[in-house]
Amino acid sequence: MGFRRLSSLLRGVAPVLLALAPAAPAGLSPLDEQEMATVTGAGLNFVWEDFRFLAQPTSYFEQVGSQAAPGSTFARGDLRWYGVAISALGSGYSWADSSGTMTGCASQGINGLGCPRGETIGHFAAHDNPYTLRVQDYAGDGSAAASIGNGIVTWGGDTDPLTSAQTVLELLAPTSQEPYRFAFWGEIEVGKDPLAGTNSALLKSQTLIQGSAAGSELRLFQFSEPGNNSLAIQYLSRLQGDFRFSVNQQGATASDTLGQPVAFEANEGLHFRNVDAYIPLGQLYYQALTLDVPRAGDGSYITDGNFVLRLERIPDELAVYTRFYSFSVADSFDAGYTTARQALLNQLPANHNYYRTHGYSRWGDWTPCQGVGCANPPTTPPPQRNSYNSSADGIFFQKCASCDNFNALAYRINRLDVRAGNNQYTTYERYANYGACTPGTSGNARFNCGYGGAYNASGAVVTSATGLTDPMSLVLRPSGSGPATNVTLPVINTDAVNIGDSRIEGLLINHMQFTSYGASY
Amino acid sequence: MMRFALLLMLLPFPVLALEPLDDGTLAGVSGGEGIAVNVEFLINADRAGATITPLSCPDGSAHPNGAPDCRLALQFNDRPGTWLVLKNYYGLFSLNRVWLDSEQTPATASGYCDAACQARFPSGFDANNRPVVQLSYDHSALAANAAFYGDGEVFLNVDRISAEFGATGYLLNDVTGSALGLRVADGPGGANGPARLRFDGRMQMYGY
Repeated sequence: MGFRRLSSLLRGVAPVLLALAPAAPAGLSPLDEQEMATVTGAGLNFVWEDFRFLAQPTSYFEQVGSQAAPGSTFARGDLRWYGVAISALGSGYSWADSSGTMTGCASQGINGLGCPRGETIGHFAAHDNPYTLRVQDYAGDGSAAASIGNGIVTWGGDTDPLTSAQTVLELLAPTSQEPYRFAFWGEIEVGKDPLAGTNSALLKSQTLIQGSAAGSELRLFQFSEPGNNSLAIQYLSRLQGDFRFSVNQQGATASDTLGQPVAFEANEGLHFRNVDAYIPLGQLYYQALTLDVPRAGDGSYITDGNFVLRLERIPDELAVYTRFYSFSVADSFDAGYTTARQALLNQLPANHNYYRTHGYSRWGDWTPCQGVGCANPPTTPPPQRNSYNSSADGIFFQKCASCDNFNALAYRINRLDVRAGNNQYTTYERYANYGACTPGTSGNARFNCGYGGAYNASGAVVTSATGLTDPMSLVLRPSGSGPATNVTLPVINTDAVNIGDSRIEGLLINHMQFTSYGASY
Repeated sequence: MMRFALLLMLLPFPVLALEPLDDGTLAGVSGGEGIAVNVEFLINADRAGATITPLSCPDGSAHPNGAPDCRLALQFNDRPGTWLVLKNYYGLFSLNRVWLDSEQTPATASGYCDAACQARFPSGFDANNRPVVQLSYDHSALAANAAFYGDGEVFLNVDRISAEFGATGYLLNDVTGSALGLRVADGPGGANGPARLRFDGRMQMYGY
């Protein structure tokens, strides 16, 4: 079915569906003329209120494994996502149902990341900010294109409002949602032998995401490259919130039995706080995700049965380059293209084309611009840098509540020498040795503690641990010698290790391809 | 083979026998209580209780190129002679007593519509007080902590997904490996039948 025909179909469906709905909530009755007059068929909206979705904790989505490559070190892997739940933040329930009752979740964990399943979400999609399914004609740089932020360019570089028009079927997430919780418990079954019913290992884990995917957009259209007019998919992914991945099971329910739900401890695990990410996969209409089979160098099919999911490479067209890379300041040839540094320093407005084509992934709330050239880098504690055991922000590993503290050690590479024959890394220091650092107040001395600013770990329990293998000796050692084992190193004894914030800016994906591998065996 | 069963029940339920309605009674029927809908959608499958079994699809002898299972094959534009084939493909989808009703959106703004949201609607469009079609479940008899998952069921089995080639590639089994297999079910190996689901709240739909 062509998209234009689909467009006609949707325009027909909307009034039919609405004809079932009356003006008053009392019953089913026809719409009057005035109400019908406001329906244009432009889109269908989906409202979800007081919403919750729960899969039974023993029910799952499974990616079925297949035989691994003979002679490789890989083993067959079967992955299952159990009890997928979309529910509200706050107190709730574990996966361990008992006698027809959901078991309450005792601890809320860190920032509510302890309980996997909550109550209902008041405004998962509010009536005036719903999910929208609609068919649109986007063309050129005209006013209609303004709704996608930056107009469109075809694969051939056409931006003409008349000739570049194409029809798009799109599903739009609300631009603003009540934060919610997405959770599942997972099973990785390694080395499964389906005939014998055995496996070599089983790992149960839990994943919690709290936040929303507000602002995400999915579009289907026909790709505009001549000879490649295939189904094209654009997905603009937006995620914001907190994330926890954990494996520690609560003692009373702990189980290594296949498919047996367990309750996970509320605090343990790898946390990502204050995540904000935008990953653009495709641009109208010069780049998109397409499906194909692997190809040889001459373009012929490789018939091993595998398939390819490809983000098509951008074409060699000036109009595409201008839009994709985004000219800085003024659209002149000597202005160059916008870099992440330019975007941050010039504080480009939020609706700038740069922010449509360039993605970012921010883990932690690292405030922009703390390096050389920034207006006001921090010089005194409390710093922007997370404390060594902070659970309030960034990326950290946290022990379970009843577990003993653990020892942590990190090396900081503070000089990098990449000249040939210089062993790559010339100096490094142990993080555990450094209690505090306060930078100077003027000139480059302001950056003496690195780009994260001042820090103070003097409250840490710095002790020594024996019988260790020096991790740095695994990286830097003379040729022919082994790693340094059974050594004593200074460590921090702690309940959490915060490894800081991470930030990727100016993410441009020129070309990307996923190729399946399993059909070969 | 595909089968589709739809059962519509007018509510309320206490109908003990079928009797003719007179004109006056008929005039009072407005459907105001909405209707409840049961949907069961079986794809290449039979159901006996929780057990889902694949139908006996034509074996290779029935086709000149041999098609040993039930399958779904996709071919995309400008990919001539290539097929993405889902092999031994069967499943079930059901919804149990979905209430189909009409409602109206709230009279006041939710506070969640920002400038980007406003721009999606036509100029002057008001999302308040809109007539909507509503789907919901009656959970009024459920305790707050009831482990109830009877609103819907999904079962899906795809043994292998791989590419096949040629004009009739959708019938072929030249590739014996698997790029991917999928299953949606309950219990190890799908022993307990379909995955069971719960939906709370209401889904409303309106156009503009």
